Amino acid sequence: MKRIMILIILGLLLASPVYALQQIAGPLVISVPIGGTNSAKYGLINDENETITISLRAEGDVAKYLFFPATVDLLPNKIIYTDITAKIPADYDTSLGGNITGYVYALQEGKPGQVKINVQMKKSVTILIPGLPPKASKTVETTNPQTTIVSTTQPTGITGLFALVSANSFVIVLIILVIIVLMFIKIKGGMKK
Amino acid sequence: MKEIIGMLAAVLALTVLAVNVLATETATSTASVSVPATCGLSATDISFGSLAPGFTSSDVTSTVSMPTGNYPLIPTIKGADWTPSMAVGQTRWYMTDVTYESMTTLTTSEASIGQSVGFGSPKTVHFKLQIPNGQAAGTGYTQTITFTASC
Repeated sequence: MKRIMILIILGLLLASPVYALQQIAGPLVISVPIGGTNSAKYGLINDENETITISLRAEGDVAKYLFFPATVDLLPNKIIYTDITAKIPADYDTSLGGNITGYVYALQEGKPGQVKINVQMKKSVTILIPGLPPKASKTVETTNPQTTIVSTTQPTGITGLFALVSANSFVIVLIILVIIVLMFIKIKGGMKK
Repeated sequence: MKEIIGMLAAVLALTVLAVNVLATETATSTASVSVPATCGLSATDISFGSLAPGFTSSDVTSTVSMPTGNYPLIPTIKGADWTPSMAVGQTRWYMTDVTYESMTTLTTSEASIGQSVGFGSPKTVHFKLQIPNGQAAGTGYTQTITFTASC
């Protein structure tokens, strides 16, 4: 029985998901004039409890125009943004068009073993060169980063008469002032008598 | 005199009311948080154990999941040749447990697993390996399989 338990625990440990990588959704679109540079932020998240090192590489037409670190250290459970810099040389061949596409990959290597399971993230990258028409229509991922605004309104706890009066607190102050003025007039009148 | 006392009482009452109202009037604050769309991927290890030439392994599985994230995706799978020397295609995969012959051959090109993986909806990928007859004996055969997520 003890042996079976140990085997089950061992099996569960071996089957635990140890490679976990996450990225911010949405394509990277970088607008760069000829002879210029520009950057976009590539957000990656490490789901593990310890710092991991991932390697970056680019594929496709964009590869030769992109610059980024070869490896990035990802702290656990934190979004790490890496600059993906695009540089278009001054002698860029305009016949190539103003729409250069490709991908950036973030690879997390698995643990060595008989079969090493790697996990990698693939990010669509488009360089747009202002003033140049695209060479050909190419499909670009159109995922938009989702932003949710969570609004929390604290209740005032005022109801009925208080709510009514609350809306007119300025009026209350005014009434007090009027009464005080009336009091002074009354007191003055009494003194005269 | 009575009128003055009455007025003082009225002022006092109104002051108490005003203080009460002003004290219970709480500011309405709006907190906002930006939740980006993210996709992630995780996969469990596999091992075929020890196999004699001409034999096919039993079914082994890797669970592909999205432990965190909110953007479902359809992962791709690709492999590399076995080292020191065995074709990548000796490994086959499929999304259900079927015979080796019915499975999809693993290649060095990305192939979609055809099923969406989202948060809370992991998928099981089944693998089998066949050792060709004449394959050299060895204990250190290794292969790399890569799951890719795009979003």
